[in-house]
Amino acid sequence: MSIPYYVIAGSVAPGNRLKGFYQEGGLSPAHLLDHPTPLRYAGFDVSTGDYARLVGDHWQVRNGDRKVIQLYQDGDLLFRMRADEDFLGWGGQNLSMRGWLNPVAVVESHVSFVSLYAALVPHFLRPPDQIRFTLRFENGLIDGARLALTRYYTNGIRRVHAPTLYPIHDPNASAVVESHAALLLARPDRVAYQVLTRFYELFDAGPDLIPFVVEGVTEGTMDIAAIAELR
Amino acid sequence: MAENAVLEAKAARAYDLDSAAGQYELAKDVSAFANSQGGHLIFGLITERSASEQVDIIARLEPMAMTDFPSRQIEGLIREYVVPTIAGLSVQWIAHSPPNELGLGIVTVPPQPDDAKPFLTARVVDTHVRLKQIVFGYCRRIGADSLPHDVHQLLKTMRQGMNSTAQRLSAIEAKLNALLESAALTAEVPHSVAEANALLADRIQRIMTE
Repeated sequence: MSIPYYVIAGSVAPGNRLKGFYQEGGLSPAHLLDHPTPLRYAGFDVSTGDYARLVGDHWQVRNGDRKVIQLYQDGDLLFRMRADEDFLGWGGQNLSMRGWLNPVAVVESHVSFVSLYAALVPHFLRPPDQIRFTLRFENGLIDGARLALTRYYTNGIRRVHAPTLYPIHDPNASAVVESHAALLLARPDRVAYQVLTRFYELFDAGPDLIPFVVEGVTEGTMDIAAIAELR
Repeated sequence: MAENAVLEAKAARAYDLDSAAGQYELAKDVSAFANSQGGHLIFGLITERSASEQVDIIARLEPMAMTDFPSRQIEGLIREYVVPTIAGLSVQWIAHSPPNELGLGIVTVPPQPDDAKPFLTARVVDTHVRLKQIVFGYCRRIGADSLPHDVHQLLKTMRQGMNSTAQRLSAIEAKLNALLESAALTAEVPHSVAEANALLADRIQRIMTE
């Protein structure tokens, strides 16, 4: 049985590289993988509990098969997640809910990754102008059915009768989001919203479905404080 | 309350103690505690996955009779399949409420001295043809998960030892190797956006199969 995976990657224009790439601890890029700033305990974020190891030409941390993160000297940062009930579909082990992505996991993993890449930007030899986020699914199917998004329900989806599903339009869907590095540094919450908007488009779902968005502002912005307070 | 680094909740008969797979699962979970900061494995608890946190939360009690918690068998299996012996290991059934007919089973793994680590899981597989295979593994408690090392991680740990100096030397060696590889690959550094995109696509494809 094939496992569905999802990768989000951050990258910059070619010819740049990370300073002190092979150093450990303190202010090194590898240290960011060891100790990413968590939003909250047991969140669906980039923390793995692992210590960065050099594997060939990149640093790697992993939490079993659930999460794998790789960092390359040219600034490519890849975050692979299981897209089934082990991570992105957390809580969906009931047969009727298999293949449903958990909106909290979806949002928090993207917010966390965007924040991690923002923390990486000052480590480049030359300040980048643009940051590219690449989104890619592989085998977005469970038991032959396409992975699907649902709306976020405050009291849990189990109590909802026949929720509307938004299936992924292609099990191997991919997308790209470009962002100004200055905006990423100043407002990672807005860049995370842009990335999530593109993610939801892979499921033919509009941004109105994205939970934890700040209300009353014209520029789409993720509500980091609301995510941090989740229990 | 949620499972965490020092608490694992289990239903009354979570492990099939008569099967090799069940015995290994028990040994894995207990050795993971021993390799970390110790912890408690509590039987008689039903969990549900939290929708908003990456943890299993304890949903309700499902206490069992003392006769349904084979404490001696559990202790015996742990002593046989976790190497070395866990100091201070405790396996007991605790009455939950009057009239003390039902209770919870608790396996307590005290924090172990670093000198005693690593704790390995040993398993004997009897294939019924006079051939016995001994396999062993190493597990760590990370958050609310008991995670086994794969064979490559285990081999590396055993070769390096757990000594911090050895690990630093190994890290230095890895860096030297990486620098040499980087120097050899200088000519392959992408100079165009198309080349960089192709390289990223290749990396994404490779991480998918990690």
